[in-house]
Amino acid sequence: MRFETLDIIIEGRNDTVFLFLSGAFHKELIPQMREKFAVLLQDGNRRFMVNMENVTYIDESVVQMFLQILNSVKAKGGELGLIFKNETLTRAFAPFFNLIPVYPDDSTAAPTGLLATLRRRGVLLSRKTGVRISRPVAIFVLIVLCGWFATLLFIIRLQNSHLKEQQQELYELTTYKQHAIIEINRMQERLRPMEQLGILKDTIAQKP
Amino acid sequence: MKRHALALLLHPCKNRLMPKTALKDAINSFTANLLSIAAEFPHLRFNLVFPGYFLESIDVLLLSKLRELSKKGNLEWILTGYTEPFLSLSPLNLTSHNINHGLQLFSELAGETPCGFLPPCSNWEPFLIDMLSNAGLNYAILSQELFPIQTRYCCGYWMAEHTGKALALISTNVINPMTAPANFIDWLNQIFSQDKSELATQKFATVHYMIPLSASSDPFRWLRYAASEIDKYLLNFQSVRFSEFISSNPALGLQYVPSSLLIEGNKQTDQHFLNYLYSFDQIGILQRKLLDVNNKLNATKDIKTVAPLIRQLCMVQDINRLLPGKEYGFENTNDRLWSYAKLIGIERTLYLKNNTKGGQIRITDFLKNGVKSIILANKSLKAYIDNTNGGQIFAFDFRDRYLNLCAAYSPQQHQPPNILVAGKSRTWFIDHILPQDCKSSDLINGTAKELGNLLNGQFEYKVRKTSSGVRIALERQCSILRADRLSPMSIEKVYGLEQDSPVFNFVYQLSNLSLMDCHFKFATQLFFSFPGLCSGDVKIRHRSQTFEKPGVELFQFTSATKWVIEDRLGGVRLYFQTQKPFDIWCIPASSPDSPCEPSMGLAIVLSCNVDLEPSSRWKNIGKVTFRKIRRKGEYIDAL
Repeated sequence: MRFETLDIIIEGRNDTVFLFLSGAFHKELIPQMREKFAVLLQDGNRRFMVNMENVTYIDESVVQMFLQILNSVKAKGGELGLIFKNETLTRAFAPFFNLIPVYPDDSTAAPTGLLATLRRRGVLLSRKTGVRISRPVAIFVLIVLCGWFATLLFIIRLQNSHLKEQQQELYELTTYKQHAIIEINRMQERLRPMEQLGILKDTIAQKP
Repeated sequence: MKRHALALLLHPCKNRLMPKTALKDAINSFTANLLSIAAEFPHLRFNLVFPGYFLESIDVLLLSKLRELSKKGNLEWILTGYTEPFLSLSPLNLTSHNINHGLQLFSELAGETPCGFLPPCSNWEPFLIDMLSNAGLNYAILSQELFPIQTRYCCGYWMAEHTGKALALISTNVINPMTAPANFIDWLNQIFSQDKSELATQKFATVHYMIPLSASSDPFRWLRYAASEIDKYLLNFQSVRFSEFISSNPALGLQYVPSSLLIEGNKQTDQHFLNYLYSFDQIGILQRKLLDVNNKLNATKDIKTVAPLIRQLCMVQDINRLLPGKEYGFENTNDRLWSYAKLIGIERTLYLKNNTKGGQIRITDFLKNGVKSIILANKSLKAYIDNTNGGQIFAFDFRDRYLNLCAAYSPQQHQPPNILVAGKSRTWFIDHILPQDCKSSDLINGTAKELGNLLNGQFEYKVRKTSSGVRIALERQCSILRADRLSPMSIEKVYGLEQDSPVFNFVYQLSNLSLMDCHFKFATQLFFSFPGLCSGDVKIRHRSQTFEKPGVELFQFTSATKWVIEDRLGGVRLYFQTQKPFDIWCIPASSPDSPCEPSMGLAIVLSCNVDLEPSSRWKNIGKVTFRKIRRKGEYIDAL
């Protein structure tokens, strides 16, 4: 049964639809596979990873089919990646490595961590809001944003150093004041017996 | 008179599932009895067959005494594997693992590795020669029924060759407490006298005594008698261990034994025994599931997770679960559901480990018949769909309770031995187009006239994966018999699983493609295999009515949009809900030629009269929610 040689598993992992193919991929299976992708796209799926590590044979026209699928996926703002490292497929897809992203295994294809999550989140948000911006505009906006952040940081830093100087000055003045008070008290203590004898008049007390 | 060599092969056999504690007691009692006989007759040498898992259950003190016997040269261990695998039905790597794990256990617990192998039920496969040789085993023991009639009664052992490897083959005379000879010595003399050939320098015979662990009578009475007789006739018969005889005597010659199996009660071995086996219902699905789970385990790289799961799979591989039989085997509901439960448990562990979210769709040749089946799965449920056989569901797992709810056994045999046969296999969503006046009794008696050809037709399918879950849409153009003329009609049915929740959806849409009115009764049949059917723990509730005896009595209720089935033994409750009302018939799943037997399942028929105007449609949507309820009693930790 030439039509029934390929086993397919379709499952979702973190907003990505994984397709695991195993067996021989003959050209008779192309319409079937194309239809499956069309239905999956229709259902709102946008990120696809096709694991073909267990594909034992691949027809030349299958490679063309994947390029066409890539086009239709990209047209809908999606992504398509292939996962394999076996020799048969590497040879078949070698001329198209610059067009289709190829990963050696599932874990590389679906990276975890903050960046990957942000990226996925970003795709999801753009899908939800419908906002689309080109790459140069995105870079320009990013530079402007970075400039804003740098200016803000510079201002904060400047303010910080100014505050530190004022703090230092305040500290010095407070210390001087304390010393002056002590000095005044000491002088007053010395002059008090003379004042009591009436030799000196208390001029400080007379001040309004 | 020449002195003949006699090998006594003792085989404690456990055919039924037993709770762990009961198994422990039975093995200890067996060993204690055996040790007392060995102490009574110190010259007796015997060969003992033990599956590896017996060693895990045996008392340490008793095991140490067996070790001493072995060291003294009175005992030789024979292996069946970690369990007693059905070699013809099992994948090679699993069998190899089973044998190697058994050897490892012997080495760790018994202090030595066995050098002989006994295939359970004499299930022989030529590939075993290579596998056993590689594992370091020197000989295999088979029933004499497997050997050609010309050499069957020769007293000695043979050599067998396959793909460049050779192995010694020993033929045995299998007896059990019921067939054990009353006069042992006469019987032995008869065996030796049957061998007219002068091939052997010393004649050698094997007595394979099978001792049921759960026997009500005392099987050791005969063994004690046999041991005393051997002791009495010590000059005529020398009791030997297999390896000592093989190492000191040459083989009688070469033998080629094809794939065979000795089924109990069927003394004739049959080269086409697999055709016979697959003519039974359910065994095919059970074995395919075993293969599928084994493939998944092989693809998993995490050894820590896989190792205990493979051991569980070895338990399912046990021949006693995969042979037909009322007391034990796949015909027995308890055994069948136990095997499914183990497989579902392993699959569930692997599924959860993969971090799959929102469901999975698999399109694979699950039945290995050259046709793809579609498998929808999520965290709680798994449905196996055969789009070529009327778009039926042939297995349905409720993973949270390790239950295959669509595993009702049909006593009708399949010929040719296809795994699924429309009309015979007891599956879910078997569709019928019937006359509007058709009654439930007509369906039971088989007198209902089918107006459509939905039973075994092939459906076109489309699979869909959305954020709400996974589903499959099946579509078929068919025809309906209307006043002796066929009118075109199309049927579309959709099965779906909601994300990771235990909810199963189904939709039926019938379209009248002709320019004439159509009036018929649409019915779809579901066969359930609840564990509580036999014990009367299954109940069906509709509004205020409760039906206590489903699977035993026929009953029906009309215009139902909501009803509930619960099985307290299985710990599961099914909430059915449909958009439009159905008439529900609950039929005991017995066939016209077999008596009513609740263990064969419960058939529920959802029916309603449909009136279709030209170019119009009829549609009904349904939902089944599966809930866990408190289980009556605990799971018996069976082996």
